[in-house]
Amino acid sequence: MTISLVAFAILLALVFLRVPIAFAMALVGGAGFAWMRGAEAAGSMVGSAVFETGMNYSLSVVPLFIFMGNVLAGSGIASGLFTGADRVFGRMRGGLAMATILSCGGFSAVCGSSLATAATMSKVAMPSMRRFGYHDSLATGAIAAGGTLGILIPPSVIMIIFGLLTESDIGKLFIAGIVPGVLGIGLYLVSVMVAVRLNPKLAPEVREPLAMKRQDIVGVLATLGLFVFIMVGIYGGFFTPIEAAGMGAAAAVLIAAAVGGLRLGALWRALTDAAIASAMIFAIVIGAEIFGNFVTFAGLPDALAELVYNLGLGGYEVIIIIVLIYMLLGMVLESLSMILLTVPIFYPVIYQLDFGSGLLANPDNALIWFAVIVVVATEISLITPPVGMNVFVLRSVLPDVTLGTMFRGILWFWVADIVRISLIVAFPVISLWLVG
Amino acid sequence: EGVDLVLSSWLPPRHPIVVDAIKPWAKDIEKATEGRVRIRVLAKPLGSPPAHFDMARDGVADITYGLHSFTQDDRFKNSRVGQFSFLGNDAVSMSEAFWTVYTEKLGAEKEHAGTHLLGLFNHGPGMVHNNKRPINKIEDLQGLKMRVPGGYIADLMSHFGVETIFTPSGEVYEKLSRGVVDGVTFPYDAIASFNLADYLKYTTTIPGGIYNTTWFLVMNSGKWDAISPADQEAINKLSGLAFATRVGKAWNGADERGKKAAKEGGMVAETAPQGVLDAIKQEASVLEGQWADSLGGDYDGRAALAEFRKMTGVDV
Amino acid sequence: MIARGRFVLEAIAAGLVTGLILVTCFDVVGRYLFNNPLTGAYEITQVLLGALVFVAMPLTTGKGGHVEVDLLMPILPPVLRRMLGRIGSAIAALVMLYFAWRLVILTQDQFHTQLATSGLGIKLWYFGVIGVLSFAVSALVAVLRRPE
Ligand code: NA
Ligand code: NA
Repeated sequence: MTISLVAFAILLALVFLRVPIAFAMALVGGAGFAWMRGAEAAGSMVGSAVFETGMNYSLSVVPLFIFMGNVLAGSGIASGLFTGADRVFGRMRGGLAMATILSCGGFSAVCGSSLATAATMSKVAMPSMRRFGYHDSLATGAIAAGGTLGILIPPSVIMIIFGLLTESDIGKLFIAGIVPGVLGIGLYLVSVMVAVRLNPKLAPEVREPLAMKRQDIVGVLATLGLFVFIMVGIYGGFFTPIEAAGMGAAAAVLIAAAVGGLRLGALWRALTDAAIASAMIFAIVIGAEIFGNFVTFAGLPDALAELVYNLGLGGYEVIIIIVLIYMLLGMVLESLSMILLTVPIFYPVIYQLDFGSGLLANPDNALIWFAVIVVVATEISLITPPVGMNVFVLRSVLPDVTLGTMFRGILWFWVADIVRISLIVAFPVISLWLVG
Repeated sequence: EGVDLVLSSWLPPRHPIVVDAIKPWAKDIEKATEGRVRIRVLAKPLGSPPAHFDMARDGVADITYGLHSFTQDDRFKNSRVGQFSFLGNDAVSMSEAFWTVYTEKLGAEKEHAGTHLLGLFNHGPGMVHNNKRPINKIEDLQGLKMRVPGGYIADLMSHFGVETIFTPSGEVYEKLSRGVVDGVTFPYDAIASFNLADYLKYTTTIPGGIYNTTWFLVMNSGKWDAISPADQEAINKLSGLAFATRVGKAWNGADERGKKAAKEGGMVAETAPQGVLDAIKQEASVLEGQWADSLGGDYDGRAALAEFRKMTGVDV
Repeated sequence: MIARGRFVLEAIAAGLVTGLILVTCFDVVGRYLFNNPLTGAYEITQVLLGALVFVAMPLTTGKGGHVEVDLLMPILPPVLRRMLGRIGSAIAALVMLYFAWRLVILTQDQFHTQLATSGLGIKLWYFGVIGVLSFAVSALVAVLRRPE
């Protein structure tokens, strides 16, 4: 336990001193492993982690889901979706921020990646919000938080990884995310209303809403059509959730070319940007794998599991502790690495917990409920400083907004997330309702 | 004073082999050495399943287990003695035979060079499960899309016109439920452990099994040498043949649960009729011959197979 | 020179992403329309993905696309900021160089045993070689890049 904590401290120091996260994790993990096992064993472990991560079939969804988002962003579909959503809230103060949340939700329903959702919406929504005089903090906060919905509302990279790690039914996991995702949209909308009520400077006076244009209708309908295509494909038994990434990407190109005005140049950028973003994510997964092997070897998982057992706690108490652990880890870890590190440790524990009678008496239900909790905790980590991936994505698109401004704006939505995760823990039916 | 060993385990933590064989074996070793040799089973594997042999060799972990067919190369060529058809009807006798034949007749130690060999084993008899039709004649296999683990059974099935598809075992459920595959070759245990009964209808059993997979349990040689001779002796008593018996029982228990799940799920099991068996026998002997002829120098593959079948009581 | 190299890598990466999409489409469409799925779709996806990650790694590195935490940066003087950036890049480059070196060892092993994928028998050492080149070039790019 001590050596793991020391390693975490060194990792944090390196990360703050501008060493890219992926390589900081690889360095600390590799060096720690070498310290315990010798350099040759560590080298062998590092070599296979690098090679095998690249060839990991289930991670093929990463480039494809990101590409899908890029296609919709590169055509007129994403901006049509946004202006379409703006029509709904045009007459309210903070309406554009609410439209951002709503279109993030819509976009999430066709895109499996939170990063792609945040990147797309920052390109689409940010210019409008700036033009109409929204404060940068509210604008970026809404995009970063709205972007997190990408991994809760199906399809979702994280749900697929969770399903494969725990051998659970990915189709059911997807369905379980829908109600909590809609709840998330609702609470975020409330956050915007509260924020502009308490601090009117965040948003401009109400303006006349724009008239619905053809492009807006196309954007909304194309998104809806793509969502239906993916859902019917998965639940009609035509393709697996992993294949949905490839099929969805192809469908997105066809739809964007047919009605969204997708040009060849935009397609080229969508392809290369997806490749570049994927290499960034894979580098982090490689680093997380190496660091994870080190902390596993150092016995951190066993120490945590033992802690949970020795305290002799009930089911809900354990879940609350696990959520708190996720909140802490979420500060320093990137989402995918957090899942890869923690889920294998916690899910056997979940199986053995006693939740009394009711929905959770069935351990498979308990696991689906736990999946939703993990994904929401992961969403929160995406916007929790210092390592908030969605914020970094925004930062790369908007280099002139400081991280401090962004995190200030995010605070409103962060509070909504805490409310949401509490509701989801307290009422398992929110997650299990549609699963049946 | 003593030796702490780390075991990297890639099967799901609740898998019967982990719960009923690996962990109890580790505990018994600790008891037998009066706590001088302690084995810690890690919560999460330190690499992908196929990497596990190299991991023990290179000292990434001290003890690992895995399938010989994970790596598509000729490193464990002689282990294929335990992967053919008609090898036995339960995992205990097959695992015992595999350990004995592979170590005594086919140079198992040499093929596992760089590690200390602790155990070798098989799972229960492999069978054919599908959701299209019972296999009453060999032509019924024609055109079925089947998930196979590769190696011998893939060659055998393709010969009979099966469209073979490779996918990790964890994804079989998704593939079956969406009609990507019509069936699988698996021992009974998989019906329960991968929850497949809803999407399968017909089980065709073959006396002696239509295929098998072979497994190893190895330790890093450096770590083995660091253990005192007395404790090595104590570990040996629990390993090798004794471990084959232990893990065989665990597989048999898993097969029982799988059989029950299949029955509850309404699957129909039938023994393959004579015509089907004859066709399989014919092709099997061709493939066995090819393998035996390809073995280097002093190894007699045919004699080893005959010995294997004598030990498990299977007549071909 | 650099621009041309970048364009070539981008073109290959774009082709690989397209390939990933097409493999799934041929597999799924073939399965339903012609009852003829793409044999080995799983393995083709694996190797395309591996190649994609390796090919894109220098591009990501060159773009400064690896995630850094620059939360402290606004309060530091520019000189110190740039220095930290340099050190960070140098550490990243060393780690990538080590990756390349370990892949050399791994690739030798793969070549020696002629390790291949289960179904189609695609030799893995090809991808080992691509990986070695990828991380060696990425390390070089990381050192040469000017941080803001
Ligand atoms: Na989504
Ligand atoms: Na975070």
